[in-house]
Amino acid sequence: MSLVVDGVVARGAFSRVVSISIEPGRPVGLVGPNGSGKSTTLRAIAGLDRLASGTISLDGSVLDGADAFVPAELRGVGVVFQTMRLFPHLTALDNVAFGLRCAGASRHDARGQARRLLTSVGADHVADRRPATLSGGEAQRVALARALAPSPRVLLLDEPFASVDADSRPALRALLRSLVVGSGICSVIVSHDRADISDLTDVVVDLGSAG
Amino acid sequence: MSTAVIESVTPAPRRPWRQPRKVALETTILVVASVVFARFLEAATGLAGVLGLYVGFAVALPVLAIVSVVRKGRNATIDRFATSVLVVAFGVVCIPWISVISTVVRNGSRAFYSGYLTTDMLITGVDDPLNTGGLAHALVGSVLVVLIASFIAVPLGIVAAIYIVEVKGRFAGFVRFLTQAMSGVPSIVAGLFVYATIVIFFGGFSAWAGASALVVLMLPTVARTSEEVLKLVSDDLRAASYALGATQARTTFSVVLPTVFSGLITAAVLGVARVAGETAPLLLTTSYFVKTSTNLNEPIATMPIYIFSSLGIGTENSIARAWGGSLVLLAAVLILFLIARIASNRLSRK
Amino acid sequence: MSTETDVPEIRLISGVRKRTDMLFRGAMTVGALASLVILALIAGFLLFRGFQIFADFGLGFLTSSTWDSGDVNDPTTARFGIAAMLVGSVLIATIAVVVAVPFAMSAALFIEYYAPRAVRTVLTSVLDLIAAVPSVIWGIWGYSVLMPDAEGWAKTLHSWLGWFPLFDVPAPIFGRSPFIAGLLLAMMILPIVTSVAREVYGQAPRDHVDAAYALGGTRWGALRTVVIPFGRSGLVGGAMLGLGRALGETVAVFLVLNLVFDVNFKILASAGGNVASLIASRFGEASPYELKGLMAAGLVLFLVTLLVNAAATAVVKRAKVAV
Repeated sequence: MSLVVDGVVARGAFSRVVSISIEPGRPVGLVGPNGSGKSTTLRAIAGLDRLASGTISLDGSVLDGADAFVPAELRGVGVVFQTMRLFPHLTALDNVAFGLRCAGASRHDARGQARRLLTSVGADHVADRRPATLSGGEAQRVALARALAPSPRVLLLDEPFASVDADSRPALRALLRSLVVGSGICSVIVSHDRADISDLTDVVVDLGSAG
Repeated sequence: MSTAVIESVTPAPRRPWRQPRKVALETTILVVASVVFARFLEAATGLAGVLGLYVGFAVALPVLAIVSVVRKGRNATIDRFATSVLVVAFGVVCIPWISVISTVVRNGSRAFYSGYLTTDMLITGVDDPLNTGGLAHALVGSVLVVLIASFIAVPLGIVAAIYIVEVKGRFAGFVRFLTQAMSGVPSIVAGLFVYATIVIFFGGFSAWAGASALVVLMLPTVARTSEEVLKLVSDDLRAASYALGATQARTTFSVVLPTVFSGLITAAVLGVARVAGETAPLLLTTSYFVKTSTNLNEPIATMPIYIFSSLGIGTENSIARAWGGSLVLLAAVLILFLIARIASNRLSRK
Repeated sequence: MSTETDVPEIRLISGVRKRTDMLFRGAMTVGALASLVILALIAGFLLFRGFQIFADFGLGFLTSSTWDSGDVNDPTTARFGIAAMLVGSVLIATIAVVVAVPFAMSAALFIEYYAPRAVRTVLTSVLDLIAAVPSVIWGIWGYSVLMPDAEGWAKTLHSWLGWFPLFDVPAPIFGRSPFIAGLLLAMMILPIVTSVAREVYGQAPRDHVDAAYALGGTRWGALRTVVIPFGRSGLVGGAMLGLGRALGETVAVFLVLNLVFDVNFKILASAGGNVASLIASRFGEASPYELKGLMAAGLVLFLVTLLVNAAATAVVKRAKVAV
């Protein structure tokens, strides 16, 4: 059982062949120079872009193929992207509860669950604050909780700690490690920070060399 | 002008538009000299008043501009002349605006007394002294009619914007074209249309009919402004929402719209400002009434019609009342504009 | 791990958008087409109410200048034609555009290329604000402030250029003329034309402007060789938008124009025509049959402005695509 990407990712004039297989609990690190297709690959897995050709499949079932496409909202793929900020109009707690509400939970249940998740990422003290007032590290903890809330089968992280100051990174890395390594989640991490890759991933795919 | 030539001349000054201090000094001297010259011209000829002074200035500035640089060569002379013509033309553009606002304030304040905003014209004739009666009826009526219009036009306008920006439907280009076309509908035609339908069917002038006519005029403004506002929302925010399992409907209503809420307020307020002073359509749909009324099924007074009908009577006091109404209306539009500006500033700071 | 071979059908079903989304998209589509419905209703109802007039007078409705409501009890004595009004509308709107465009152009250039940044921001807001001044206020101002002054200008114009038919007058009365109405409309459409012009001038490629400045050494040289040619089609579009506004304006024109049912090209004379003002002035006391005539006139006005606006939109759009 695993996530398999085997096809051509494309964005604008850019395109390239990507072939990766990701096992649950064994995060894959995606490295390569800027413009080598790392983010494009993540967007394709998340269902935000379509593949130019080929397939993405999860546990043997096709998410994106010649005649099948599961839209992002139905994939159960969690994302922590540098560009995807928290929703500015919601508190940290409601940000985390958002995905649970989408899955049909009542407001009360969703908030209870969200609070537990915030506690597990060590951000329960900021539950009632707006994203604009959070530090980089706090925001990233909340973003992680938000992505994990709907119990995704896949978790995608794009430069997860880029906006976090250096002192907070080891703690966050340890947190992330405890959440994904050995779990049932297939995760992919894109980072320029070598420490992220070596700490968190067993398998490294270098898009810069394969291309 | 060929691009090849342009590219071969690279050493363009970094900030060519910035004028050295010497030029600023020269400009000041030039302008002051022109004003002095205009004073003489005013005294010497029949041109009188502020307008006459400006005509003098408009003649003097280009002439002095040429004289001041003619020794520097042809190009400099043409440049200085063109600049002074632009300045003069810009001044001409501003004169009516300044005149409209200052006249409205000056003449309008004459009609004011302590009860002007709180009394209606039920027991006062339009030609009665200016310390009786007022425009409460028109104020109440305008607020009611515009509010009803907003309740219909604002949601419809936002829906049109959602269709274009969020749904990106097959007819998106067509809907945008229709909105544009609608913004060009003459206001009297909107009134005539509502007369031909609602007024005839329901047998009379009413606030409802007036509001319906205003919807036609308000919808395009709201739709276009909302479209601009929705385009400000970054796609990443939508993507984040989809990735959390939100449907497009939930993404739109729970993420996109709340994020740009103040922008949508701006759209609504601009729509209100657009129609608050519309006169022609209301002539054909609400008619006029001298009593403060909240009955939406009857003729109702509105600010524009109060001004228009007072002016039509043509006596000194009634015309003063028309100016008074103009002042209130202008102030209302100005305040709406400030609100819209503040709301959109809040949006851009986010 | 194989991919292509075992494609379970279940997944394909979940790939279809949720029903709430289909509902949402459908509802938004219906709502968005409200403008289509409204425009169609306007055309439809004005045609429906005015149809009898077209049937009774045919093309004569457009080519005749007689507007006679006749005997109230005998509609056959009535004669309706809007030629004079239509010509007047076009004449006045043309005056407005001809007067407004050079000033709009100068003001736009001044705001965009001469005014300091802070002043530019303020002026841009002022433009928007002035564009929102209600037409009834322009009307009262035009009637009490502009008209007395403009009569004097008209007199001067007549005494110098009276030999030219356009500036001739049958009698020395200069108030309530197409000239004055056109001037007032020019001031009213100035903000919209200026802001369109300002926008297109602002989009002129900065490096070309700078290079031309460096070449010629003067600011005006750069404006003349790069900016003004660049903004030409945008300016045309803005002028046409202004024309559309001017054609449809009612109250302000009504207050400063003497409606006379005669085709008249003497712009300084106290006699002019205007479709919108015709509707506003006759509406109050119109018989049912005359009302139909007004509906027909409204339909003509609606179609003319629609055409002008559609053309303007197309031109402005092309100008922006060209950027």
